[in-house]
Amino acid sequence: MMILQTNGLSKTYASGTGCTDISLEIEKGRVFGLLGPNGAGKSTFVKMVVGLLRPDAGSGTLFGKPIGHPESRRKLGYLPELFRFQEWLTGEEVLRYHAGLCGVTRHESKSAAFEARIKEVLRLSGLNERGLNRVRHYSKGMQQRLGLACALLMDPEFIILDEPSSALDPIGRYEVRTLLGRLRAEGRTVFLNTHLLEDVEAVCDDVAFLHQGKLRAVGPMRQLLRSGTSWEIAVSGWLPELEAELASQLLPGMSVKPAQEAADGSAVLHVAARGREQLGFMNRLLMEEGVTVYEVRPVQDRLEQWFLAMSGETREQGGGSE
Amino acid sequence: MMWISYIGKEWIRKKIGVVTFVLTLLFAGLFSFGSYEIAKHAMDEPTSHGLLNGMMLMALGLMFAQMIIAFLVLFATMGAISGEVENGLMLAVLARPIPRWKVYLGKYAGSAVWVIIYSTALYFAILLPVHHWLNFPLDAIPILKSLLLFIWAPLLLLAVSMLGSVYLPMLGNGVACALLYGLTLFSGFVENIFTIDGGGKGGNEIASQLSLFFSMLMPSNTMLRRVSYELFSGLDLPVPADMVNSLGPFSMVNVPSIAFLGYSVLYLIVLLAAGCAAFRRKDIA
Repeated sequence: MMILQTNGLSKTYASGTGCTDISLEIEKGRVFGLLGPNGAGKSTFVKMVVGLLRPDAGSGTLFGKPIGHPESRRKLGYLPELFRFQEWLTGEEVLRYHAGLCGVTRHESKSAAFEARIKEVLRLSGLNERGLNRVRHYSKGMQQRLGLACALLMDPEFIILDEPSSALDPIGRYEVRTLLGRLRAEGRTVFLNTHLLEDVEAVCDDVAFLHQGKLRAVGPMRQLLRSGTSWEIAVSGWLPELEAELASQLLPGMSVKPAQEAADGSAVLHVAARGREQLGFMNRLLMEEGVTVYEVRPVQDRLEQWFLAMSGETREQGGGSE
Repeated sequence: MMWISYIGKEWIRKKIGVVTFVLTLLFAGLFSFGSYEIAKHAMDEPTSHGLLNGMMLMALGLMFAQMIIAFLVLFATMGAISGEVENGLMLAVLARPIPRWKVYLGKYAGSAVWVIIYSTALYFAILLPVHHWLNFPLDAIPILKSLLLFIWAPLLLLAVSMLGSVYLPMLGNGVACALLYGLTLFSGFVENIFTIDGGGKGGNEIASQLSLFFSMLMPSNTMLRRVSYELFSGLDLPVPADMVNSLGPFSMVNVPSIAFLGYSVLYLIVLLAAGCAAFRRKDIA
C-alpha cells in the first residue's frame, strides 16, 4: 500500500529557491530518509506534503487523498523544523490542544485512556515528569521532545520528522534513534528529513537525495550505496610485485590495492572499477597473471561518502555552488 | 469551547488579563469618582442640566471605554495569524486534520467571547456610577439595545484586526489598524462638529463624505453614536434638543441608520469570509 505519492511537485519562492518536479513514492512500513545539503528544498517538499505550502505545480496523495486536504492528514504525525509551542501552556495542555485540533472532544481528552496516552508519549519522548511545567520553562531540547510527543500523540500511521535531533544533546539523539528503531519495528511508516547521516544509515530502508531543488537519486539505500564502483576480490597466488604490474595495464578509473596479504599468497584486493565490464577486465588480468579468483563482492559505500559524492557530482552538473 | 479556553489561557497567562483588570479598575474608579464630583456640584442645577451632565458623562465614558476595548482588541489580536506564523506556532497546528477556516473562526470566536465579557463589564462600569451618583434614569430595553451595539463595535474591529493579521506582519497590522481606528474616530468628530456648527455648506458635505467613507471602511466607531442614541432616546429624557446638540462631538447627530447596521452585519460576514479565504491560501513557510 502506498502511503505517500507525489507527482512532479514543485514550489518556487520569490528568491528562486524551493524544489522542482519531485516525484516520490513511500510504501507502508518503510522508513524513508530525505537527504540533501542545506537549502536543497527538503523542508519545502515536506511542507507541501503536510499542507503548509501550496504547490505551484504537480500533485500528490497522502493515504489516497489529495495533499492539502485536511483528511489526508488524519493519520499523520508531524514534527516540524524550527517550530515553537505556546509557551503559556504546559506540556500536557499543548498535547490536549493538539488532540482538540484532531477532533478529540474536551470530555474525551480528560478520559483515563487519553490521560494514559499523554503519559505514554511524554515517557517515550523523555519528558516523563515535566508534562505539568509550562513550555516557557522548557529548554530547546525539551521543546523538541515535546514536538516528538505531539507527533506521536494520535498514534499516527505515518510520521514525518523534520530534523528530529536538531536541538538534542548526544543522549537525546541516541534516544531519538532508539525511538525510530522502535517505530520501524512497530511497522510504522516514517519519513525522516535529517542531516544526521548515522540516523539515516541506522534506520532507513529508502533514501532520496535532493540538491538545488531537484531530486537526484531515490531508491532502497542498500542499492544506492552499492553504486557499482568498489569491489573486494579474494584471491590466491598473489605476489606483492603484481600490484605495479597490474597498475600499468589498468583502464582509466580503475585501481587495485591489496587490502590484506598473507605469506601463503592469499590476499584480499580492493578494486575500483566503473561497472561490470571493467570488473570483468580485471578478472581477466588476474587470471593472465596466474592469480586464482575465489570471490568477488561489492563494497557498500558509507552513506557519508555517497552523500559527499552526490553533492559534488550534482554541483558539477548544476555548475554552481550553494 | 476549546478556542475559548485557549484564548482565555493565552490572555491570562500572558498577563493581558491582569493588566487589563487592574487598569480597568483604575479607569472605573476614576470615572466613578468623576461622577461623584460632578454630582456634588450639580445638586443646585435644574433637572435638565443634571440630565445633560449625566448624558455628557455617559457619552464620554462610553467613548473612552470603547477606546480601551479597541486597544485591547488590537494589541491582543494584531498577531493572531501572522505572529503565530512568524514564530513557528502555526507549523504544528496547521498540519493537523483541521481546515484552516475552522482555526481562523475558532480564534475569532474565542477572542470574541472574552471581548464580549469585558465589554459588558466595562459598559456597566460606566452606566452604574452615573445612575447612582447623578440619579440618571435607566431602563432595561434601551440598556440592552445599547449594550448589544456597544459589544458589536469591538467585534467588527476584531474582524478587521484578524483579517489584517493574515496579510500584514504583527507590528504592521497593529499600526495599520490603530491608524485606521484613529482616522474613523477623528472623521466622525469632525462631521459632528460641522453638523452642529452649521459649517460652510461645502465643508460640511466634504466632512460627511469623508466620514461616510471611513465609516464604511471601519464601521466600529460609528456604532458608538448609535449606542448613545439607543440609550438616551429610548429613555425619553426631558432634555430639549438644542441642549442635546450642545454636547459637541458627543451630540446625537449623524446617528447611523438601520441600513448602516445591516451594512455592518454584512461587513462582518464579508471580512470573516475574506479572512478564511486568505488564510486558506496563505503559505506557511
